[in-house]
Amino acid sequence: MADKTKTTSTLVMVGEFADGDDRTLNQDNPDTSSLASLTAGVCSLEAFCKNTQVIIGDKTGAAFKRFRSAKVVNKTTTLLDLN
Amino acid sequence: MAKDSIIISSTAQGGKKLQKTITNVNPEATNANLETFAQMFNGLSTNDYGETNRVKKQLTTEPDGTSKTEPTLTVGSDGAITYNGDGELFVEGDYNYIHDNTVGNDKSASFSGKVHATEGTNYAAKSVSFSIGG
Repeated sequence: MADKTKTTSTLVMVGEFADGDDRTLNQDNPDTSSLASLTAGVCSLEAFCKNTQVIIGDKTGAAFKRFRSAKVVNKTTTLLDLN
Repeated sequence: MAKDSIIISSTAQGGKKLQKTITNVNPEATNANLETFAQMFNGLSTNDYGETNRVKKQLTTEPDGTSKTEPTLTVGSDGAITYNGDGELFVEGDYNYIHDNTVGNDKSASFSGKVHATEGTNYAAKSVSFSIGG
């Protein structure tokens, strides 16, 4: 049996709030078929969150300001064949 | 501030059921906006969107325990002493007292020392002090 490799991918977005606090939102299985589309999607979500304030800061419930960063983190897991 | 959460249910490519919880959601957000947010958030992925459930967090405030009344000792113009409040009231000194709980049932005695003050007792003081809490 050969080694098995599994790749998982997570979109990690760091949100910034009015009290200076950060919050990280993770979305598994991001659609990376088009990074331009993914970027546009994050920007749309940011605009929506600013307008509607659906998510608030962890510490003081402060207002959402923007996503400071968004990155796709790929994790490769290799299961070794021990047989 | 009480905060809500949402749970976004979706299905990954390949059939695995997923649930994503997003905490610290604005309790004043409308259900419609939360639904839109969930769909947009899920839309960044290759997961098929299922549904969103909202979990409302309520802060229940337990009423404070009975507040203690600051004890007060009031001496009326007729010499009557009125004690109000928590804690024990003590009488100390040399005094005669007339125990007058029941009309027509007067008892009198003299006492020296320190004793719990008894409701309904008139303390005809020679030299006496009152203290609260011993």
